[in-house]
This record gives sequence, C-alpha cells and structure tokens, in this order.
Amino acid sequence: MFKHIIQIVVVLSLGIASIETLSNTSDSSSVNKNVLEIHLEVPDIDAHPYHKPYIAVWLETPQREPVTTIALWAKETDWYKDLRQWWRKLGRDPSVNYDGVTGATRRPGQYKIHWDGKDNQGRTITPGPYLLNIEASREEGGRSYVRETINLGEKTKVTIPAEQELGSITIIVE
Amino acid sequence: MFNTVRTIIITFTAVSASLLGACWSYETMAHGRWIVPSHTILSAEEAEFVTFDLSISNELFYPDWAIGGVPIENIGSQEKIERELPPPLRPVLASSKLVVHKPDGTTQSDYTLVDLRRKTVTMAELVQNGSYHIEYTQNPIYLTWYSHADGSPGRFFGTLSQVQKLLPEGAKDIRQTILINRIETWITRNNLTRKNLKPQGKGLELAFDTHPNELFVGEKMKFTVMFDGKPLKKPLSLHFIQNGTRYRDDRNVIDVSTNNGKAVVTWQKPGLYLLETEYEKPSTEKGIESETHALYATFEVFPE
Repeated sequence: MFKHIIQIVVVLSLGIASIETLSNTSDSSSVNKNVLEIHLEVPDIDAHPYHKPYIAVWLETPQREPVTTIALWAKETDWYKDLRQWWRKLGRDPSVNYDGVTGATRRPGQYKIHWDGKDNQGRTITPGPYLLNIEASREEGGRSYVRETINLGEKTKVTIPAEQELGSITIIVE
Repeated sequence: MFNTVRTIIITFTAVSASLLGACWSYETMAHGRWIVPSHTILSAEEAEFVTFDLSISNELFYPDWAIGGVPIENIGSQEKIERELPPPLRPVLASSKLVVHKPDGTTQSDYTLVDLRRKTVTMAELVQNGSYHIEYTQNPIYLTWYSHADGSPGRFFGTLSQVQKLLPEGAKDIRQTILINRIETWITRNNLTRKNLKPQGKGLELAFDTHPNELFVGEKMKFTVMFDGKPLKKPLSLHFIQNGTRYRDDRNVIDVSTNNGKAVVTWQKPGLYLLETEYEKPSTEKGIESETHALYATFEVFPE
C-alpha cells in the first residue's frame, strides 16, 4: 500500500522535474555545448575480490555549497553513503534529481566526461569560480577524494596527480 | 553473588574518589554510560535496521555492565533469573526504554532490550527518511548519603525511607540526592531533517546549530546546552572522548566550556565520540538536597 503511494509520488515529482527542465532550457540564452571536459582513469588495482569503484563528480561553490552532480557511477543505494562528501552535499537531498547523470560503475580504464554547463534541473550555471569535486570509493578497497578550484568560462587545463583509487585527472575548462 | 561484590567495589571506588576531593561533592559519582548505534548515516531505498549497544563503562566503547533489559539466560528458558542488584535499582533498570523519535515527530518505545551482562542490546527498523533522535531512558536514581560516626562517608542506592534500615548506628549528615541521566545519539536515513532536534524542554539537553549527523574532520560542531528548555547560563565543562581508549595510553579528553550555554568543538580526528557532562542543582523535590543531571551523547565524526 505504502509502496504504491511512494511510486505515485515519485512519478509525479519526476513529471514536475521534466517540465521544469523543458521550460528552463527554452529560457536559457546561451547554450554551451561543452563547458567542461574531465579525463579520468579508473585505476587497475590488483585486488581479489575486485569491486568496481563508485565515483561521483560534482560542483560546489567556493564556500562549499552544493551546486550540481556532473556524474555518478554507482550501483546500490545502500553504498551511496560511502561517497561521503558527495552524499552529504548532494546525494541525500531529496529535492535533487541526479538520475540524468547516473550510470553504471566502470571497469578500469580511461574515461572522458563532458559537461554542458547545466545543473540537474537543466538550468545553466553562471560562469565563475567553483570547486570541482571527484570522489571514488571501492568496496573492500579504499576511498580517494580530490577537490580543485576551477573558473567556469575561463579556458584552462589542470591536472590532478593520481591517488590510490583515482588515476590522474585532467580538467579542461572550455 | 559476583554482581553484589562488583556493586560494592563500585560503591567504594566512588566513596574513595569523594574522599580525595577537598570537599564533600556529589560530582563525578556517575560512571560513564553510552549508546552506540551500528550506523549513524544510512543511504537506502528500503527500510533499514540499526542495532544498538548500551553499557555502563568507562572504556570507550567496550562494554562493562548491562544497563537494563531481559537477561539473555531467560530467553527460551522456563526458569527466570533476575540480576542481583540493590533493591532500589531494580525498578530503575526495569524502567529502561529505547525511545526513538522519528523524523515525522512520532515516537516509538516498545523495543525489546536484552541484557548480555556486559551490555544491553536492541534494534530498531528505520522506515522513514530523515533524522532520528535515539534516547535511552530510565527512572531517576535516588541516593542516600551519610557520614559514619567517625566522619567517613557512605552511600546507598535508594531514598532514605528505602535504606533507613541499612544505615549504620551513629549515621549522621544524612542527605538524599537524585541522578537523572540522558543517554542519546542521532541517526539519519537519507536526508537530514531537524523536526526532532528541537529541545524537549525538560532537563539537560542539547540544541544543535550543526546537525549531529553532519560531522566531519576539520569542521566545527556548534550547539547549545539547554536546561528545562533554556540555554544553561552557568558555565559547564563538557568532555569529549574518542573511541579506542583501550589502545592508547592517554584518554585524550577534549574539554570544552560553555558560554551562556553555547559551545563549539572542532573535530581533529574521525571516530566515535562520547560527550559527557554533569550539572548539579538544588532539587525541587521535598526532602531531596540536590539533583545531578548527566548527559551522555554519542557522535560519529567522518574523515573528510
């Protein structure tokens, strides 16, 4: 019974979210195709058993106020909390919908993430300084968390050295 | 039998501690007690279970003495045993309850508590999203203090009328006090909520600026110590002790003082912490000299 109510609520809230997305997209004056490009590596770790890491990429203001999730590679919600910083800043907020940027966990390799400069509700993020956060957590493994100040709208390229659960990261601001 | 011996030892320890003090003081007579939840932060689409360990113990967080519940020996057994305790403590332990204040403001307290001698255990199912305030409540503990004919101090659990017959000949300076304990922690399933973080307005409690499930190394926890719903003006000494005391030589107590009730602690290391504090005041109960309100709150601090 309760499950049905919850499902109805979820369907309704998704519906509202998608309407907002449409209206916001049409309102935004400058549509930037590729605002940010992130090259990141899921390192090949010799562990038995090996579980693919959960990874979150998100933006915060310089005051550490959450802005939006750029990518979430995860599986079961029970372990979302182990992406500690992402979970506290964005993951657990019920008003935030990150379904659109959520994908499966990835096997070791090189990956590119393209971001169009819009938040999870489709609103364009204003240029300026932000904190780009990348967090990786592996079951029966470790956790790595890196944070870099970027200036959206200012062409730059930054490289963050590798950590245990994250290979080296290149951030390209277009 | 052994329980009785241990109780007596504890009584003597408390008495010798007060002998060491320059003056007759009821402070620090309480032993540390705590509640440790299996989780303080949960992410889940389905309901989640959380288990709780409770104990009277100074070693954190290793259990020493159970603090209520059904003796485990009685489970599945025809014979029902009772823990040996001074009679006035029996109703105190029998009144033990785990009280869960749920995110929607409702309360549940019909949880089964099991006494495993060294600790009391129980569990709760968290169905709602949001923050839970978990309390372990018991009736107040009455104590009767006296001086022997030679001036040395003594005490019994219980009111004067309960222990009158036990008093030695020549007992003088008889005083009654009350010990009121608050044992608590907080858990959040998914989103943080604040509905039940509001002070209840009775006794010694905490009001939070920083959410107690939003604690990270390098950050501050700001809160106010309240008494009967108002910030406690009298400066109070708060002690935070990190888990793992068994594996270090120093207890590493973080001492924090309140200023008009307000307090701030900056977390240096991740871990589970016990906050201990006591506030003594004249009692409003007839014939009772003073009441000591003690607070034991457990906090979990995460690495950045």
